[in-house]
Amino acid sequence: MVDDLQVFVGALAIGASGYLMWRRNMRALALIEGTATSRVATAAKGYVELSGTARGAGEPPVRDPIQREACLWFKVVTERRRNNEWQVERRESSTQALALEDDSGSCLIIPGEAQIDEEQDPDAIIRDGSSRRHRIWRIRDGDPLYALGFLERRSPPLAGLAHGSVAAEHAVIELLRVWKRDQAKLHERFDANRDGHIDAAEWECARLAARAAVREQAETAAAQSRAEAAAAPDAHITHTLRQPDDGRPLLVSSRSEEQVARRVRRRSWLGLAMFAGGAVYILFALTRCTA
Amino acid sequence: MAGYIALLLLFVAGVYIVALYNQLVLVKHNVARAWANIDVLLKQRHDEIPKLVELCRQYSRFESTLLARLTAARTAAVGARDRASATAVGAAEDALRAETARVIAVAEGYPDLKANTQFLALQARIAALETAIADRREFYNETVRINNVTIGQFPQRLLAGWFAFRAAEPLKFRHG
Repeated sequence: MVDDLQVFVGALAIGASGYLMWRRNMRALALIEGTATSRVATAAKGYVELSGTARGAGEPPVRDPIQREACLWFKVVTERRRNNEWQVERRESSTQALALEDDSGSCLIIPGEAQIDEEQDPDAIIRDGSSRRHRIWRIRDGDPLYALGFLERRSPPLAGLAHGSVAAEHAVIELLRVWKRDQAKLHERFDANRDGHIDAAEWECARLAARAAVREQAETAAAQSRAEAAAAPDAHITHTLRQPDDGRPLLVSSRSEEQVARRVRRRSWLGLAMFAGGAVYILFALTRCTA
Repeated sequence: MAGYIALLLLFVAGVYIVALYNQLVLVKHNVARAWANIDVLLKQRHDEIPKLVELCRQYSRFESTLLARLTAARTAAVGARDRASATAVGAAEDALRAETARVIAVAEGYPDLKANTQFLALQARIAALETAIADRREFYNETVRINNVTIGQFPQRLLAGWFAFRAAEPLKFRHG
């Protein structure tokens, strides 16, 4: 009876996970096949498909912890053999950003968010004794790269205090407070008729002068941050590809679109088979119980 | 048991049909989005034409018939854009591009106009918009191809017929 229950629960689990796998991969397949490939430079903001070459994003390459081979991205899965089965002991992957470059431009991909190279054959399998192995996946500089995700322009450097913004107005008020502390200097600058009082018109001049000073400071700061950004090693990367907020995936693969689609389709059929198998067993068990 | 199996098959078929329907919605939505992406650039280019006309008009010797033709081509292009018909837009944009190129070519004969920084900036902006439009047209046509292939395939073809999903028109320019 316990055995039957275990099998029943197993079938339930297989059926449920198969159903989820089937749905998820059908949705991914529709996105892969239904989205035309854009070029980075002229793509509009939104969910796009890109195809190009993997490049570094201005940082030195990373090295996988097993073979110490330089690459742009790696994933290492360490497994131990127990009861004739490989069980995952540890997973590790790099988090450094990489870039996708096509003939029009480059875009940044933060791998932490992406489903990179899921389920494809590893680049290397390193044996560590008879019961342990490391499976290594890598993306190297120059590898073809396929990506599907939400593209947007990289944020320009902070423009300092935007003219007319609440923060800019607060900065003006603060500067006027500073000027008020030195009454002699304030009168020297703004008491135009020299009657010893700052009247409304003169105070308006002081406000305008304060506003101009704040704007000048903001522009200097913005120019400085723009210059810093232009000198950065990743200045040529104009866009970022990220996970969309609506749950659609950020997919990245060093395989072609056709290969990715084929794999996703295969997984979708596998999911359907698991679901159907689990469901048929459950129905069979329920029929047997009720008979 | 046979009844349960039939129910299971019905459920699988239901989920599959919903997925196919969603795919049709996705490709149709992608076509609309790709069109909107071109439309915004076409509008930007249409907005630059009056500036070009105005700038050329400042030179009294500039051929007014050329400017009138350019203005008429722009009006036709704006009208075609408003109708959102790819065929009409393609023809109207061809005419507009030809008239713009003619005006710019004639302007080369006016050294003052040719050296005018505003004219140079306008010329560069129109050229940049042309490049972006060409890229987005390529993307739009690829999106249309995906839409048309999807609704022409079996079994999507049946659903497309029932729910009136239609083939989209590609955007064709005579040159480029």
